[in-house]
Amino acid sequence: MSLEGSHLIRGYMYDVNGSAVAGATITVSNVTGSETTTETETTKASGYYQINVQDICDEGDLINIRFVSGGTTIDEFIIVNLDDLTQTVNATTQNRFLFQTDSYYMWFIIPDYQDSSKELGKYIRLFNFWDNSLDINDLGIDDEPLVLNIAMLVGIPTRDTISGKADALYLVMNDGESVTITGIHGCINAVYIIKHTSFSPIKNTDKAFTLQITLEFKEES
Amino acid sequence: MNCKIVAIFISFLLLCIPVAGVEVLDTETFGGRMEVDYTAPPSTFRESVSFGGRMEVDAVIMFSYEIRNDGADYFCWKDDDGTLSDVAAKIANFDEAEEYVAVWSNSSWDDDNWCWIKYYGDASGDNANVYQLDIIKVYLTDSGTQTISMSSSTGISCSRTVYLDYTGTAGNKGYNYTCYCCDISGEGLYISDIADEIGLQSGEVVSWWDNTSYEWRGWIEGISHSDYDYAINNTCPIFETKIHTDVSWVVGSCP
Repeated sequence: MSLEGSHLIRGYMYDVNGSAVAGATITVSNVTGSETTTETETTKASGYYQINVQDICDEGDLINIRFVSGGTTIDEFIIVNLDDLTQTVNATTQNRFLFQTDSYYMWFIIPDYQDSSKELGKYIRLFNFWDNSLDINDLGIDDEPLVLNIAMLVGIPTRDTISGKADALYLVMNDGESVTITGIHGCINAVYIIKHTSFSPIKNTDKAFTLQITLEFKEES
Repeated sequence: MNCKIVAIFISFLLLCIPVAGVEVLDTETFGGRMEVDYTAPPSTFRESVSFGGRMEVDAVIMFSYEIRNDGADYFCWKDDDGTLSDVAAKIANFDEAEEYVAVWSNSSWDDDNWCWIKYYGDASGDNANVYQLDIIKVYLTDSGTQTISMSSSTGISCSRTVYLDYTGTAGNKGYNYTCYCCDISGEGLYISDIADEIGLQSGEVVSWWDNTSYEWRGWIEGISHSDYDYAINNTCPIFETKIHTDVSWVVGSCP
């Protein structure tokens, strides 16, 4: 299947200092849909790219945007949503931050820069879990409570993977454990309590799920 | 791909058949009519008479357009008003069930076909009306290319106002399709120029159908970098817009 018209994914690739990365290879593939072909593009001197995903997806598919520059590979994900005029997917190198509770810790990918102003993106819908790595993005990083939306994807959904992570987070919440978040561009260095988690499948697949974690500010770390 | 305008002087040819050596000096078109200045040597029907003059003839404007046979392509309907079966009749080997011709309509939207009303190679689907300057999407499963011909018995007004619809069609995600109906390949226009002409708002998109690579070349107003500002180098270019407000686009005058 494919879309009946064009749909553009666009964004920038930055290095750890927030500088543009030119010449990175971008490969877009469909994770949950039936299309097996890919689209490729190269970031320009500004680090900008745009790519039409018309031929490789349907609306609602989860797609993978892989950025490769030198020895660095970054996987980002987004659900195709035609209600948006275009969709933004940015990538930065070395962008993990620590999500640590009293009994668990997880590495998430820090929120992407929205644009060259280096402000954190607030409107990208997807947080990602790709095998054993986690991507994250932010829907209200300056607000209280802090809401993390995570999309999780695995080959086989077992307790040790998606369900296991979800159960662990429920346990942390029920036990009132503290969650420390550090390393998001200095934007958040605080301790939180999990107030709510929700867990639901992504359309058209049994291998990808969304997880929302609502955190209440407790104290500065 | 060429979009040639060929004037066929049907009446004129009929007149000329018995008159060998007729020489056309000049032609001028006025809407759907054409005036021809000509000379003719003496003929067996007009002995020892050379004559020259001006005559009016009925003209049929013909357009040829090359389309691909192996995937999706788009073109502007420049024939007389008709139906999708009239479109299909102009396409060779249009005979497979998965092949289709489609016209963009602002009357309905569904998630599978958007606003494309489709008529298939096995004659199934919707034999919808097609009007001059409608955008046709064709999907074929053969190989190579073919040239289709369209002819208009009436004049075509290339300069016009096109209404790009966002709110008028329930469910439309903001897509519309239209064309320049003449040759602007030598005008030095870029996609950003088209965006300016439309008056796109920041974030809205206009894409030009590159009928060489068979892909949409998109320009995001206020966001795309110049690397993506492609020169429009084909005749009768097709444009796709994705907007979030209704827009009236005064399509520019043809050269």
